[in-house]
Amino acid sequence: MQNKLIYNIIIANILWGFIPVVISGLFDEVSVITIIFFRFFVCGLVFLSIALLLILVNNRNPLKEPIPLNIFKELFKKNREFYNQKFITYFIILGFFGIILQIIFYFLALKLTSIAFVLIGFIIANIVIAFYEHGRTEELSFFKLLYLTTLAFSIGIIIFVKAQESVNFSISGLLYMLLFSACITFFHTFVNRDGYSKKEIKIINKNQYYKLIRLFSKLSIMFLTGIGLMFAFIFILYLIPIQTELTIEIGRFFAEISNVSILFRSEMLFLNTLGTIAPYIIIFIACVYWNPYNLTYNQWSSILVVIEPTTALLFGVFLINEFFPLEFLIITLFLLTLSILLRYVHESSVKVNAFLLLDQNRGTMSRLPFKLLKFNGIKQIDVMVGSYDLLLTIKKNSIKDFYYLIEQLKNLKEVKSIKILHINKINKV
Amino acid sequence: MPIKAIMFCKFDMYATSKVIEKLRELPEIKKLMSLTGDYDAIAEIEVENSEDLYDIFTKKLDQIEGIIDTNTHVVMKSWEK
Repeated sequence: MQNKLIYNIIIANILWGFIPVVISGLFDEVSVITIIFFRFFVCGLVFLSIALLLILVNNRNPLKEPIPLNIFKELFKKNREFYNQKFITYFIILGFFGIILQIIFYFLALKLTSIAFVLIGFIIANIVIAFYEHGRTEELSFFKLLYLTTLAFSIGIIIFVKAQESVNFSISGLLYMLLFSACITFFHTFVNRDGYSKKEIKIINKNQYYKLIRLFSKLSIMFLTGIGLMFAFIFILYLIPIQTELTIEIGRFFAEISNVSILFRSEMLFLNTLGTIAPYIIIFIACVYWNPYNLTYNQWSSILVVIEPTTALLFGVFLINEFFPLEFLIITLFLLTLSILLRYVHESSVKVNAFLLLDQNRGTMSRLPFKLLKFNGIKQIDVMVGSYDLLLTIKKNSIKDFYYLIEQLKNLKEVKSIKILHINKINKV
Repeated sequence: MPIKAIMFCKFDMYATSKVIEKLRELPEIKKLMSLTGDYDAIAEIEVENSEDLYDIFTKKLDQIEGIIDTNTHVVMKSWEK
């Protein structure tokens, strides 16, 4: 393994894979909306407390660069990576559509169908994201095509198996599964569109700890504002005189909301601690301390994302006797494992690691590095004395994406010339 | 205060792997990567002061056969995200 932090992503995905197995037993007794409310409200508060505690501990340490509390003002600045909306608006939209609605539809689909059937939603999302990324920046290499074909085959097998079992199927279940798939696609497409501001870059370069604090703050804001919007959403649905599974769940939620004892049920305790808090903590640690010369954290996340539905299927079959004949289970697991390998080969073969040597126009030294660091893929900038002014460390997912970056840099008025040096081999880090 | 320098190197084409091995062994070289383009490799050097930087060039790097040319830059400031 190139990087021990890869285990963090694997463990987090396995923990998330347990969720449908543990939580399925709760659906008959507790509303899906109640489960989601208690999960994200409590975990949002926990993550916010962790972020504030980390700031407090950091600021009491005289050896560390203090993190000012007014950093939260950055939330009200415009996010140029998300249609120039304010960062807070971005977090609210991502929190509600990408997390809360996603989990509402996920749990409803689980309740009305089965774990294996909902697995299709995960796989469809992966395929859609791959095509969307191809349209934007990614290469659709031979291995990526094989990866997508493997996923498509696994969908075919699951549909074939589930067609033999007519008990756990409903049209509304199918609809919720597709809505879940749409939400998860939205989430993965937009989740990293929040680059650092100039003020944040200055803090990070004096104190890397800030990255961790930022991740906890971001997630807590998404959870808590998502829950806030959920109330408005379910209230509107509740007033509409059409009965669906969702409105029934909303009705149950209003009857249960005052029953705090639900929070202490073993399933809820698992969901909040091992299903949410623990995986996010280990994922955030991986994200912050990731070695920049391996595949990026995002690349490994996209490679290993299939682990979650795969383990969910495995646990579903062996722990709660989900219907899935062994021979088909072996074939599906083989295909999903193969898809991980194919995705790895694809990511490794198309990645671009390079250095750019820049000459800048006179008088631009103080502002150019901050301007450059806002571009995706520029990981480090060294301001130098010598024949060149700046050395940029670049990591990009494809050559197409890399040359798009070069074109963007050439258009900057502060940049006089650019020289490209591709990295062939990392001999020592 | 430690000094960070970036050294771009050109090698004799028949000596690349030997030079890389020798550069890898130097503790002052913290990062070393092979390149395509105008240079064959980039090395990040970290030393305590300018005297040490002078020493590594005169006593170590100049002794390695196969290095044709170097172009070294002293880093004034690094920014990362």
